[in-house]
Amino acid sequence: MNLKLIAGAAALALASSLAFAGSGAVADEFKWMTFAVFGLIIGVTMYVTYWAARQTHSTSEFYAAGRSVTGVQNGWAIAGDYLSAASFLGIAGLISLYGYDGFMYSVGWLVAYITVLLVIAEPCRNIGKYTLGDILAFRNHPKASKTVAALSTITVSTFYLTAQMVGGGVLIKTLIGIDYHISVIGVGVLMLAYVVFGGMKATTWVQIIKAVLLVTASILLVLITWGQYGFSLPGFLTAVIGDPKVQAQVAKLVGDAATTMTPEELGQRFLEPGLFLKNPIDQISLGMALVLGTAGMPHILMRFFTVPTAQDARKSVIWAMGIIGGFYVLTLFLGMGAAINVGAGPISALDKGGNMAAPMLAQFAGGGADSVLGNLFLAFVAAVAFATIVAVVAGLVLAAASAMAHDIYVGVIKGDHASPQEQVVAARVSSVIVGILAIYVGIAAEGQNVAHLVALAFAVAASSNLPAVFLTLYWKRANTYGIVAGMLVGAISAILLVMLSPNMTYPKAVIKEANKVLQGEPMQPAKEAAPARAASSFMCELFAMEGCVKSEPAKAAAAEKPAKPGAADKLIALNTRLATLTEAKDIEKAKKDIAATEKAKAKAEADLKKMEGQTTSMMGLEKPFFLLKNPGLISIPLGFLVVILGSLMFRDPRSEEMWDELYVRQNTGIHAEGATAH
Amino acid sequence: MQLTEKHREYWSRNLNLTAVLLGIWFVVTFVVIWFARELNEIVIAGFPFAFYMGAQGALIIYVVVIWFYAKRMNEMDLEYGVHEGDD
Repeated sequence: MNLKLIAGAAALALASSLAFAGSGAVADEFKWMTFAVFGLIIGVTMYVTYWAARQTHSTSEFYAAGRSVTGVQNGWAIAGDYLSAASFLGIAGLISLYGYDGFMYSVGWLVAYITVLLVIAEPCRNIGKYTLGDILAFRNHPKASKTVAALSTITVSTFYLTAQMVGGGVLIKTLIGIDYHISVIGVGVLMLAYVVFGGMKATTWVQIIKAVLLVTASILLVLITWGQYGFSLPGFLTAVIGDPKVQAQVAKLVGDAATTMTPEELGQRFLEPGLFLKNPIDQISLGMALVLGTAGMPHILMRFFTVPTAQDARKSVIWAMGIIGGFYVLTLFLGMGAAINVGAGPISALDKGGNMAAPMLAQFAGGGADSVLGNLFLAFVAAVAFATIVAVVAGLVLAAASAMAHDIYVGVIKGDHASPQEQVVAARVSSVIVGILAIYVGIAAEGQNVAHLVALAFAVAASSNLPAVFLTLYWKRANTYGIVAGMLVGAISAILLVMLSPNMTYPKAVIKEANKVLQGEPMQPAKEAAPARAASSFMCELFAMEGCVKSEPAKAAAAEKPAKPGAADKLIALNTRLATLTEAKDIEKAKKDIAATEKAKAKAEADLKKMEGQTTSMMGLEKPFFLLKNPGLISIPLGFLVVILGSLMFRDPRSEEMWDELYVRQNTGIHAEGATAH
Repeated sequence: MQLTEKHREYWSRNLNLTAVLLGIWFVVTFVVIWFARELNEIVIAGFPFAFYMGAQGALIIYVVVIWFYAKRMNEMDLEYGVHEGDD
């Protein structure tokens, strides 16, 4: 029966994508190639799921692949989990648009891994069983700690899952033009098939396959791109600096300062920091959430429960670091290669965030948009991106489902008395519930800006899960009271701060922007140079309070700016000019300008309509109260503080009694689940 | 299970190792980025020092840190008799 269902899911996903293909980055005549590659990858992963399903009967097999994953395999799977579509496509894109800063952003994600691996992974593997709740329940009150851990896991997974589903739907639509709803349903059905039938084993192998494909594709692209420069690093970098497209992009980014710079200086600037990351306090806040949040991500912690021994856990860490590190060295070439071969203009025209840099480079490397090889390359990269989304979503669904089934149903409701049969059924039913929820949320959130959901997921994981896990493992006095209070305060404060932050939609600002486009801007008089101004206090950098003076960087003197016409007037002027043009190149450019203006006008009108009659955000604010985009700077220390205070104020004899046992086991792994069975 | 003197020693050596490696991680990551502009005075083969660190140096150091941790821990497992498995 399983085989039929699995085959059915695969056929459904493929057929729906064939039937609803519209326009995208791939030209229509080459679409069949994309679908052939998609079909091949779906076929292989479905076969793996079928194979895994035959070996998945017990709870340990479902949640932890029977602890049979070797170190090397787990290393590849961790790398697969880590290299989500956001990091694979997004970082190559950021590098292609912002140079050095794009790279620093990617390294930031890798930095996070060290803390996870050194501080959290091994002890967690040694004392945990299947979930975050198991780790906390070891020495705290089992029911209380499992309940908060499950709540937090489900919250984090849902935020991250929504971002992945929406991002995936948009990505597939941009790449091959499949309808957004169909893309989301396709991703959902495939992911459910992997998780429900194959459990952790199928999820792990899908990650491994995806990671291998991703690395292969990247190496191939880098060989082709770098080969043009005889595999010389200085040669390649000199080409980047000397490239007029790169210089033009830098000139655009640095604005007025560009007028005094030579072309070489502009090119050199691409390899220096400061083009993308602007507000340092916000960056520190985001950095804290990323570095510490990764260590609290439930789907990543779960990976360490799949290996049989501590040695394998360490080995998997080395492999994962090697693969991820190697991959990021490759993204340098991918991003810069896209910047010189494709150019920032066309990349941001297809997708503002630069997500299309790697696929477009693939198309270029194979011979361009009209060549068969170019489109085959593009199809391959598109299929890898698709597999990436499905695999990461599968891992997240498994994490959320295990929190529901193992922590809440078996641990809390059944008081740990459930037959193995019942536990597996509960796990599968929970997976279906979470999966359907993910599809529903993915469709409901269409067109929403979900970027802040990723940051929010990491912020909650860092403010809620990490303090609880870290202090349970390393602090003797930590107890149930502190853990429960800290997790709740950490999660709630992170969510609340984001609701008050600039990430939300503020109707007044949207309306003002839209009116600027439609009605034009009045002339601005010349300004004199102004020195930098510091904020009146540190708190004023964080919150918009009464009497606060906001900090502002020094401003150079600006010449008088002429008034800008509204969109309607601009269109008339452009059309009049178009009629007088004779050169093909000029006509082309004027047509492009007209199309862009029309698009901006339509968007502004839609925005105005959407915001009609609204003056405040969801939280009843006219403008953000919390000024940072990421709450980590405040919510993470708060989470730690509350765990510490709660533990000091109340005593819990069990937490203290169990310390000695935990102390031995977390570092030696003696009596760890599975270790004795092998 | 009884906590022995040996376990305490193992634990404290484990903590020391982790602390030292995290120290290296901190310097490579945050100190280098904080002083990126100053360090850029050092130019190697036409490109600034911070560029090399960002583009490759930091990554290589991270991989070495993790490799060293795993190697030392495996050796300590054997030394203190808490080794699992046959390999």
